[in-house]
Amino acid sequence: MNISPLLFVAARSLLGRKKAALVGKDSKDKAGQRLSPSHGLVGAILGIGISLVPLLLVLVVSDGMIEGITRRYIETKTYHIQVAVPDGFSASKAASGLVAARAIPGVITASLETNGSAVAVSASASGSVMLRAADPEFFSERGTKSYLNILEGSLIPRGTRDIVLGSALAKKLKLSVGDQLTIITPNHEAEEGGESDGYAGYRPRLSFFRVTGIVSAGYRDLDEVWAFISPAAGQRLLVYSSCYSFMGLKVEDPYSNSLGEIRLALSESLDSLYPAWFDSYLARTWPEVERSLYASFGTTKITLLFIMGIALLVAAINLGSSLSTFVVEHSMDIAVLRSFGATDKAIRRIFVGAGLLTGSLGTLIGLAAGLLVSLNVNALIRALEWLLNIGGSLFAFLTGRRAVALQLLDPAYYLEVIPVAIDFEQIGSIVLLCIILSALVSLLPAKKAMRVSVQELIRKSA
Amino acid sequence: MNKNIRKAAGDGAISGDAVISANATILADAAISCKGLWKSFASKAETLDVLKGVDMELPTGSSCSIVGASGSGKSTFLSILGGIERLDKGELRVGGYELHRLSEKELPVFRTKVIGFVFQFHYLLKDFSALENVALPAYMAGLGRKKAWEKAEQLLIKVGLKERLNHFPSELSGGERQRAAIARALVNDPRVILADEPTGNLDAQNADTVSELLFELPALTGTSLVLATHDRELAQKASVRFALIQGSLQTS
Repeated sequence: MNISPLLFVAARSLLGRKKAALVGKDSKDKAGQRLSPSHGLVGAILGIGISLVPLLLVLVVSDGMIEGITRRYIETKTYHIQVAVPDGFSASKAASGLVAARAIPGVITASLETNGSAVAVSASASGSVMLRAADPEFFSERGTKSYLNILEGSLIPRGTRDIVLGSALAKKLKLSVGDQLTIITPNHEAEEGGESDGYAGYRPRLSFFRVTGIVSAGYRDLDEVWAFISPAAGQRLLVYSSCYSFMGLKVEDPYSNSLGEIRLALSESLDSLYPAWFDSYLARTWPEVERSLYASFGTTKITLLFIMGIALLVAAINLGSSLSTFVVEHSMDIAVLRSFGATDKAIRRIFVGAGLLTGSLGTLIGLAAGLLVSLNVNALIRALEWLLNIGGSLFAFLTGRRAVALQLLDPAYYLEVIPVAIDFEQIGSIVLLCIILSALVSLLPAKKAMRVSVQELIRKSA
Repeated sequence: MNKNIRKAAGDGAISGDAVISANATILADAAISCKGLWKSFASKAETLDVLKGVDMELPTGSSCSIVGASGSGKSTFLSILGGIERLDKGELRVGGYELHRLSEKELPVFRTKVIGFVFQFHYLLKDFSALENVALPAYMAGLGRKKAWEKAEQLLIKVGLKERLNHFPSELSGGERQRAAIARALVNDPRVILADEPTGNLDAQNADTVSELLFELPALTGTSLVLATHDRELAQKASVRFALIQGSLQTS
């Protein structure tokens, strides 16, 4: 069957005339009472389009957020591969291992880091911190430098009394570069001597530092806990049982499959170097280290997509309903088509074609609007904030109340700038899904149209 | 064409005066032949016999009119001739096709090839221009777009709508719309035109124009015309006149 005439009929019936109708000449004209295109279908097209906007926004923004947070985590915290090392593993003991790691193709840097929990006390506040004693090599690596920005002072704590704080932590403790800070850690000697058994015997260790730098990874979760100290200070302080030491590796492409191959090569190399303690499970790639975090991201994203998907489904059902109304409105037209021999198959194709056309139009509108909104999400949020604050100020002025500045997305809890990541494969899948849904929901109206008989024309005439 | 469609032998036109017989045997070369055609409608309360053994023959190229009171079964008879309603009993051959043997799937093909409908209302598709309305049946029947449009244009010129080709139904007068509907009925070169009260909605002047076209144009191409009407004057213009009385077709 030649599909062109059917598409011609579907498209013209849906989209209306080439030029505006002259109204008024024949108000009694049975077939010419309604303006085209059908208002219900215009609503259905917009429904599909509008429901697609949040879906695409969630997809693009969540991907961007996940990617942005992931990059910050793996470049400033997790490294690309971690190898856990035994307690008290000094730089001298690690030297041969680090050399062996750097020799593996694809590895950019390898350095030693020890971290542990502590309490930081300033003149006016206190809070828990994660002390990180990282090698200077970590700070000079390209990926670290890209995501760890110096806000004040210097990036690397070189002296044993130097400490570099995350920006949110510095703000919380009300500290600037040059200020003094006390770090409280468990007393290692007390732990070993058994004096810490029970609270009565616990003696904390107080160490004094001077803030030499304030840095930011652009993500609050990281910025509010970090305090970097020199490796020498780390060897002195981070010796209690809950401290964790590891070799951190950065590789050329942490997102490729080569990551697993590098881990394997590293395991073989370290196994021969440290047969006494090394086991392959001690070497973990970044997705393994942060598994729970990424699982949580993935679940959140899927939940949001599911909710938005329901909105899309509702829009598709609305399209089916509009098409059903369209069939009722066009029953005479369908009967006319039947009178000159349109078969059931042809009628079905016309209406499935109409559904596809409507759905595709809605999808196209939604795709364009969704991408436009997604790409400009930061500007839109700022504009919305501005508008709300103008409105709020006006309201405050009129009512004599104090205006409160509103922030829709507090950068303290999100990335400062919402990143946008466009995955054309995923977007293509959603577009395809929309079009398939449109075709599916038009099957029922098509079936209804197939039941219209030429008899209608004779009955109406009689 | 579906191989299941049984095409009766001999479909040539009969020249000369129309030979109509209300009780004739089925002729192979007739545009319409029916014998013992029976149609009933059953409801919960009763069964209504609308057509009770109708016999009729209409030679190719001739015209006939059927008059009758409202509810006498004229429209039902036309519906059966057009393959819209199925007959309950009897034999019916239209344009060489044995309708009583055709399946539901074969009927649309029959309508495309054999029948042209003209209704009381024009039923032009409102979103299509006069030219598109007339071209559409040919386009859907498989004639290429260019040829279908050319043929439609010729027909619209013949019915006097040369200046109205690209006008939409709402921009045409009642008479113009009905003329466009006649052109549409003729575009697939049907063997039979079935017209149900084609002038019922028109004023006297437009009704005259439409009835002239209805009797002239099909005759030019050897197409037969079956006209169901209340209008005795219009019915008189047909070569043969029938009256449908109590389910039987009688010559009048």
